Amino acid sequence: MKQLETIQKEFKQFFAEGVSKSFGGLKAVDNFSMELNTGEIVGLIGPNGAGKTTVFNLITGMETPDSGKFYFQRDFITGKPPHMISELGIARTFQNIRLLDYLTVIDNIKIAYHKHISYNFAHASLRLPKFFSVEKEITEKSFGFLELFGIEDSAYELASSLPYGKRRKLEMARALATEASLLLLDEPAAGLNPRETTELTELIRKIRDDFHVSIFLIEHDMSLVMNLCERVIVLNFGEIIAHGTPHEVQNNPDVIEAYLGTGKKKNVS
Amino acid sequence: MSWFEFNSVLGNIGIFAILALSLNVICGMTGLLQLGQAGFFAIGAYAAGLTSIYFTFPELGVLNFAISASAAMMAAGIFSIILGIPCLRLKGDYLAIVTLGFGEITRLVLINLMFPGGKMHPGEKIGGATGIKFTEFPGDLWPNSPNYTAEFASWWFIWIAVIIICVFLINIKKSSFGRAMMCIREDEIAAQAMGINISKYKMIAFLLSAVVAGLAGALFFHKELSIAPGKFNLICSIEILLMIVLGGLGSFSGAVTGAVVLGITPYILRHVEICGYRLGEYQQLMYAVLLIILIRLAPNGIFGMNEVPVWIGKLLKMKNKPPAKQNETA
Repeated sequence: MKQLETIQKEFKQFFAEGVSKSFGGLKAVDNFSMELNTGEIVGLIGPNGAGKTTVFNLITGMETPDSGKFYFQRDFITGKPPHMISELGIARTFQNIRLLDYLTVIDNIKIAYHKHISYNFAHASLRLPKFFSVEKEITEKSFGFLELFGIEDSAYELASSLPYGKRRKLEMARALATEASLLLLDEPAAGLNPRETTELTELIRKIRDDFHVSIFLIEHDMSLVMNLCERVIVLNFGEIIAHGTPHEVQNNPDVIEAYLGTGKKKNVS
Repeated sequence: MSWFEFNSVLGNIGIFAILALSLNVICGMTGLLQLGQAGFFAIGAYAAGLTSIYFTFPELGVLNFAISASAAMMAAGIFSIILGIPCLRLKGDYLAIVTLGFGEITRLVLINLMFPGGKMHPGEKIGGATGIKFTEFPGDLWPNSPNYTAEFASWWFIWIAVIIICVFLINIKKSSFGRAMMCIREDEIAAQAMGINISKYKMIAFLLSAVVAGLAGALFFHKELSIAPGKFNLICSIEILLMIVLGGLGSFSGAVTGAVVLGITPYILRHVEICGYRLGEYQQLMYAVLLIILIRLAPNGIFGMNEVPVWIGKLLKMKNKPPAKQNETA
């Protein structure tokens, strides 16, 4: 842990500066700033439609922000295409799981290694020795990730045949297999029962410790957020309304208002 | 069916098998609907034809085929890049419409385009609706090899090409490049998030598809020695698409099977007689009925997406054991 602290002092792994994005008249994200240290788990919460997923889309380059900047490991990543941002080491999962349904589970993981592939078209089409050695290495690594998530038994099944919980796990395994140093998890616990959620909490913590990645997650399940996250950012109507440790955020009056309302009718003047 | 007819049919089926393989790269593997494969086929055939007419060296023998085939592949590749750079930004139906237009424009341009006759047709213009023709004048053009013809693509030559291309493409499908293309087919957003440059891989797939179609064109020219633009019409493109849909989108062995089934059906029907009615007369009708039945029974095509269909495995009651599991335990 001491090493981790020195790394943290050296630089912030990721930070956003005044990012805004609007869709027509709707301000989806307004002046969003944050920072993330290496090895930290940060949660992003907020009511439905607060702009949480838009923040993820902006970070991964699927939407370009109207203003503001993102830095990742001292690289300026705003406006870069998504595949380049992924190459730099930001991986994400999706709220509605995006697996490759007609490929096998193991192929789904192998996709993540595409950017590290060192053979070329000639090696692949003529099946030269290099192809086999690289493929073998990838397969072994992929099995490692499947084992970590406990889905190695269904490695040669189609991804579409997996049950829901395993699909979530497979998507996380795939994101982790990109060898990213920042994982963005979009509602990892959605649709899981309390026991599975507890398992997932342990798993995410284990991933952070074993792979030294930072994790930024969107979640509606407060038990997971409060157990897991070291810091929480609360978003409402695109604006950050609170920022701090889970305990601080829980007792913040603005947050309670955003989630539950004020309890009395607003005066219409 | 006489041997001569059979020979020609086999060759034609082989050429359509190559076209089906080529279309499968872009339609089956990358998931982009392409309706203008006949355009690249035509460009390949014309490039090979013009190269043979202008630059044939009888001393080189079969190497002439290599020259014209590489010219055909290059021409088709160049056109695919010109078409691909602006058009691959389009999605779904729009790309289908643009490529459909490309196929038809190619045919119409070839109908109206005249080429100089070269040494083979001195003082004439070739091209136009009648197409181009390789005619040799023994002793006149090449005194040393009076029996030279450019007819290299016999049925076995074409089928060797089919097998080589099929293996080549299956190898690509089962590599990281193939996985990237299939990832684009399944989900473009997920592909981007995994670090796949989707415009680059769409372009590669488009180029590969066009180059293989160009090679099919070269084989076609060296089989027929006389080509006309009328052959490369929309029906040709649709027929190729039908073959891969029938065989199973994404399966290369399925594409070859689809080409064989669709190619041989009309010839079989021609020789079948039921109650005095020759089925050949109702060929188009039978064709449609057969297709409907096949699609009804196997909506994903005969082979599905796999190279070896699942039902064969079930038939043999073989459990295909995962080969990589051994690596993992070792």
